[in-house]
Amino acid sequence: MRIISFALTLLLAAAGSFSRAQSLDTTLTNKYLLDFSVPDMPAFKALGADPSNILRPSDIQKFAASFSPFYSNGQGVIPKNFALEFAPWKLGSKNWTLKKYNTGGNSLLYNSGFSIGTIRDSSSYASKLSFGYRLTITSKKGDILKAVYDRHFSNSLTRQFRSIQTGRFLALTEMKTYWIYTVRRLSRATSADSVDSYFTSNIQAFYTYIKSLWGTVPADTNLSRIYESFINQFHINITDDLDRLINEKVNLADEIASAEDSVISKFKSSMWNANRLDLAIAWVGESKDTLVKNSQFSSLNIWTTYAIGIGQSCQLLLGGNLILPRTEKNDSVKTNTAYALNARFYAGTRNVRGFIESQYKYQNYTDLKKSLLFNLGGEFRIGRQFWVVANAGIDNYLGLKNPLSVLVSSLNLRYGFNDAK
Amino acid sequence: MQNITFDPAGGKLWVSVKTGGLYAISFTYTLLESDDAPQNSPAVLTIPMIAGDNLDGEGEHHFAVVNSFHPNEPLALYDGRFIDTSFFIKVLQDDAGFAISVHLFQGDDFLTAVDLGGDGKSDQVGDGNNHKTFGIKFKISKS
Repeated sequence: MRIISFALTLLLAAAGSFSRAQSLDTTLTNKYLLDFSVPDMPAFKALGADPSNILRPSDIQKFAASFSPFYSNGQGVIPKNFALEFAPWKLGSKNWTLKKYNTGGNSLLYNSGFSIGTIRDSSSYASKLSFGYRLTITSKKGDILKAVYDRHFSNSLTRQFRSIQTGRFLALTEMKTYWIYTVRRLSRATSADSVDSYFTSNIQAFYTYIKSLWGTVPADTNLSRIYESFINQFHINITDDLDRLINEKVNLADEIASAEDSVISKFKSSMWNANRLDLAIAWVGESKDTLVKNSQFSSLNIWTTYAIGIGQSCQLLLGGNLILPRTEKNDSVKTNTAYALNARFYAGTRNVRGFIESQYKYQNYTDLKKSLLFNLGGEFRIGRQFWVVANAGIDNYLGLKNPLSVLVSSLNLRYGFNDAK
Repeated sequence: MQNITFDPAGGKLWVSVKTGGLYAISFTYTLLESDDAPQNSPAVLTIPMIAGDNLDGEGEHHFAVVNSFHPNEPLALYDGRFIDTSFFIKVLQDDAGFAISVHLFQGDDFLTAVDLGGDGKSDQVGDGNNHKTFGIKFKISKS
């Protein structure tokens, strides 16, 4: 089997996933996906197509694809380099409860991803294929599934979320139940669906009843309690609020949901730069002629990156990358080794941000032992699921008699699928 | 609506709610008086109404079925009453489907209580929405 054929198969599989994603009715449910940027893929980074060695952490996607470059010398080109990543436990989490997510190591499985990547370059071993694994650990503050689960963890977002959903729903149901069975005296044998239908059809009468209680102190202390809770939970301050409910036939379940929308929207906009730790490993194989039977080990890559949120709009990444390339018998050193240390600083919003970066890289083979990279770049969203990541800089090889500076650049298109299956 | 029979000489009645799926789910439970009760009897017998959610780490929630006005009345008087549960489901991260089941149990200790039967719903929020509400209701009768 040829590597390139395998690569084409993967590309077609990716294309199939794109069309599937587009056919889903996800218009509003997508508001609840954590649509942070698509993270770097270990299998792609390991191929060396990007001048920077840092592995950028983010919320892991159920499925993601990365292409680079898709534009060269002024013309669009079919990418020679691409990678796919998928998170099998996240994909299979249909019946997971919040409890299951938060039990044992399940959140680690959920946030684990496997990637595969290929590249064709001009080296003597032109075809390379890589396999990677990545684990993202997010602070409780930045993981909505942990934050809403743990009652002992509390911040303004989770307190609002619980108060809105359970508090408002209880107040609405209690007021509705009182009105249905005590005021309207519907048969208690009326089915749940018929009660809902009756309530929806008579919503103006319900609000008019609420308005009739305004300014009174009901003799029934239970009604007094229910009414006060309802008024407080839905922030009804003046009779104009009740007139709006009557005139617009407001669906209070929508009011609960829309209030939560603002909470989750705030979460998304404030948590793109939450603290995260990425751990990753990738194996790379290479072949002279694209035949798998002629392939050999090329390198093993290990990363760790810690992302630190700074305020609402900045993020600092501190990363390390250890590379163990193939060592031949005639190499001048016993074991070929390289490492890179990176610092990258982002500033921007959840949709657009720029970065500056510096990287120190050392390797104990070839003449180019030490280099210092200065990089400028940015990442921005196109539509809802695509991200473009671009950067350019100067790679300065240190320690040479005539220091060699090389202009480097990278343009990367990423697709992230994090929707319902 | 499901009809559930219970032993009037048996132990306490319980409602058990189980939730599944990565959703924020809130629910309420209430006991409704029988339609055959005297005219001056309150319609709603759970005061205050009981609410719960899946945000506290418990996959299963259970509540004793008790008339708040007469907590010690004989079980036989529960004949013909209704148990009403309502759900509010919010999509948090994806919409791959939720599963909810409500079962009634009988026994003085919930851990050893007998399952009398129940009802449930599995669905997606979907349809362009990000939340869904619905109810599951039971009529309980003496066996």
